[in-house]
Amino acid sequence: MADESLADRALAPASGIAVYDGRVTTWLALGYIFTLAWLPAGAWDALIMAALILWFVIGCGRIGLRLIWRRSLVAWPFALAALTLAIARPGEPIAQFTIGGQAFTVTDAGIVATATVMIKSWLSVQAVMALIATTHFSELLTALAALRLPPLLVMILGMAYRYLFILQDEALRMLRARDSRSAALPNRRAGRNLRWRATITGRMVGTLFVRAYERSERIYAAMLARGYDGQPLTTPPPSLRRIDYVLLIGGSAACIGLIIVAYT
Amino acid sequence: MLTITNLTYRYPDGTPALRGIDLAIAAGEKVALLGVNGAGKSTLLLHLNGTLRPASGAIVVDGLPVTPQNLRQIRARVGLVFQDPDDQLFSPTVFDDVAFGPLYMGLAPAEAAQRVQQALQAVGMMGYERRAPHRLSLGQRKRVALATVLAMQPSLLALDEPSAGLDPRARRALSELLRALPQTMLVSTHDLALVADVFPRAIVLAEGRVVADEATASLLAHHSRLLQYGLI
Repeated sequence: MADESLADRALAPASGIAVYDGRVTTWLALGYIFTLAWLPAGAWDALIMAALILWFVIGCGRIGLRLIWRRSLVAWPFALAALTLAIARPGEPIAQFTIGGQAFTVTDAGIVATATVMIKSWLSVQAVMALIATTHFSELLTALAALRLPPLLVMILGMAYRYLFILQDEALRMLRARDSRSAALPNRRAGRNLRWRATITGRMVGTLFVRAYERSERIYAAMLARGYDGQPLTTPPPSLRRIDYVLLIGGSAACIGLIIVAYT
Repeated sequence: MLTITNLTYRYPDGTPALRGIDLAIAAGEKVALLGVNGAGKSTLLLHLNGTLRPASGAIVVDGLPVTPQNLRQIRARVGLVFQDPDDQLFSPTVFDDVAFGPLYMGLAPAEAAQRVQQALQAVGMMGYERRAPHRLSLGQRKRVALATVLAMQPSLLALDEPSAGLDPRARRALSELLRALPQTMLVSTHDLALVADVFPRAIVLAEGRVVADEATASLLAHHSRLLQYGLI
């Protein structure tokens, strides 16, 4: 609860990027990630430039680079999967090791590929976090709709976001109730055993699911009562302003520039 | 039984919720906690079993101070029932929910089952053991929520708005039940009829402070004060 939510930051007017249309920031974030994916292994100049551009944007957005870096650590366990590239890529052998009688050779090309993938993953996660921190979720949905994502899917995402917090609160209240009755008597071992506690937790998850399901039924009934007929209603988004076009063109030029640097 | 000394608490955003609460409740006393929404009633109750930790001050329950080290023992002594029974009931059946506390405390399954029967009998819910809590009426869920703490045989019951949302019949049944229970009680409520029925003593909170602590009959006799405290 005390932890600061990146999504909540998007509601704060302090962000310098929040003045731009959410569609533009979303498109540029996606464009940045695709550009990173396009860069070849070992394109260090382009990767350094990409990192500097992103960190400059994060600085302009007054989000807090340290916060973004801390949150981006969640990507590392997944990025570690790239370590297998170190032994999978053919190249000049650098080191050898044996696991279970099987010999593995680390190659120079493998090391370069691994480092590139890990840096790309890290920067991509930071770009997404910067986007979340500077763009309200409703604007993200507008951007996704503008990218021709099916309206029904956009509506489901919007409702999931709306009710996720209610579900979270419900889960927290259940945990509080459980803790309130997690008592101990003198000279008795409290908490029984791990299996019993795991069973209780499993049942709580089941109960939460049932409640969520029943709530969804009530919400659907409320939607029907207000005329919902299965067709999501969308309002046309406002036109982009001059500053949005400037950002879009500038951002696109930066992405193209990175690709040119990487391939020349 | 319960002693609270100079208790203060601030919400995480810095808003003061409790400001220097002092009160003492003797064993067996039944005390109503009154006040408008946001007065600090629920926040005070959440301190009694250590769910919330005070910024300063002390709480002693049955001779045991509420500290992080004593939380488990405190929770065996303080039965806290939340306002919304859906917050209280987290198991798939009534039996599982009522048995959770006794089993967690290390009682043998047979003894826990016996406690469940006693607690359900006390609240008039015998025969509902295998029912899913979410299939019960609000009044029944409130009774089961009370049974979940009665099964732990606490010495102090802290109930948060137990009559909220109940129809007149369920409210009357609750009133009779609370009168019959022998435990010391501190009950947050807006229901003045319930207060007059069950609680000889009433404490009024306003903006996190105790502004009245007296005999219920005396408080209810002064219409102007009830208006002043926002109770009517």
